[in-house]
Amino acid sequence: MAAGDRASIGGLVTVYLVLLALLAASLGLTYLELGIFNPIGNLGIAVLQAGLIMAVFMGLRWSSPLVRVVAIGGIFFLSFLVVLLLADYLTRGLA
Amino acid sequence: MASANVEVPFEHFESLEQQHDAARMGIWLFLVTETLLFGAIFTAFGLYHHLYPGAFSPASRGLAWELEAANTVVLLTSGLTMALTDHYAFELRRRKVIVTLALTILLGLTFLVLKGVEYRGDYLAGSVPFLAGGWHYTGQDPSHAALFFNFYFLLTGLHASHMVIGIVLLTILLGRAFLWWSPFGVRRMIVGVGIFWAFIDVAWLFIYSSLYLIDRSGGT
Repeated sequence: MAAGDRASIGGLVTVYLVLLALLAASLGLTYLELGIFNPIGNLGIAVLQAGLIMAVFMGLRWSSPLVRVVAIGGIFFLSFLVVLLLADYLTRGLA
Repeated sequence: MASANVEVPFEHFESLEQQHDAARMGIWLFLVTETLLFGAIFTAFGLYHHLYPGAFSPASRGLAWELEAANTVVLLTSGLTMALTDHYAFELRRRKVIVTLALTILLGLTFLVLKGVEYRGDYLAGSVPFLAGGWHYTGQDPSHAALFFNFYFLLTGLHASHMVIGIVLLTILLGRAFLWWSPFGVRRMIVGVGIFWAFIDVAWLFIYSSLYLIDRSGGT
C-alpha cells in the first residue's frame, strides 16, 4: 500500500451512509413475506456490508495484492470447513 | 527510526511501503484465525438451526432486535470514526486523532452498555440456560431453545469480549496520541487497531443477521 493511497473523508462518509442504508434495507426485508428469500436477503446484505467495510474501512482496496490474498485466504479456509462439514452431515443422513 | 518529520523504515525493511504492507499482512493473518473461530461457531449454529427450526426460530424472534438495530448503528458509526482516525493519523493531525479516537471509545462503550441492557432483559425473561435460576423459558421445545441461547450468548459474548479488547487498545492509543512522543508509532498502531476494530463490525453484522433477523418475516 503506497503511503498516500487511502479513502477521502467524503468517501468514508459515503460508505458509512451506504452501510446504514443497507441496514435499513435488511430491517425492511423482515417486514416482507419472502419465504427462503428472507434469510438469503438478510445474509446477502450482511455480505455486501462486510465487503464494503473490508474494501474501504479496512483498506483492502488500496492494499498490495499479497495482503488481499491473505485476507481472502480466511474466507477460503472457512469455505473448506463449511464444505467438509456439510459433506459429512449431508451424506450420512444426519441433517 | 523516525526523525521528527519524515518516517524512515526500520532497518530490516527495504522501503516504507514494504513495512506498511508487512504490518497490514500481520494483522490480516491474525484476522484469518479470527474468521475461522467465528466461522466455526456460525457453521455449528447454522447446522443446529437446520436440525431444530421449531425451537430456534421462535427463540430468535424473541430477541431484542430493535435494541440491537440501534446498537448496529452505534457500531457502524464507530467504524466510521475509527476510519477517520486512520485518515487523520496519516496526516499526523494530533487533535483530530484524539477527538475521533475518543468518539470511537465512547461509541464502543455505548454498544457494551446497550448489550448489558439486553442481557439484563434476557436474564429477567429466564433465557439464560447456563445460570442457576436463569432458565425458565416458556416457549416451544425448551431443551433445544436452550441450545439456541447458548449459541446466542457464545457469539454475542465472544464479540463483546473483542469489543473490550478493542476499547483497551484504543485507550492505550488515546494515551499515546495525547503524549505524541512517537507520531509515526501512533500511526502504525492505529492502522492495526483500525483493521481489528472494523473486523469487529463485520463479525457483528453477521451475528445480527443470523441471530436476530434471519427468522423474521412479515413483521413477526
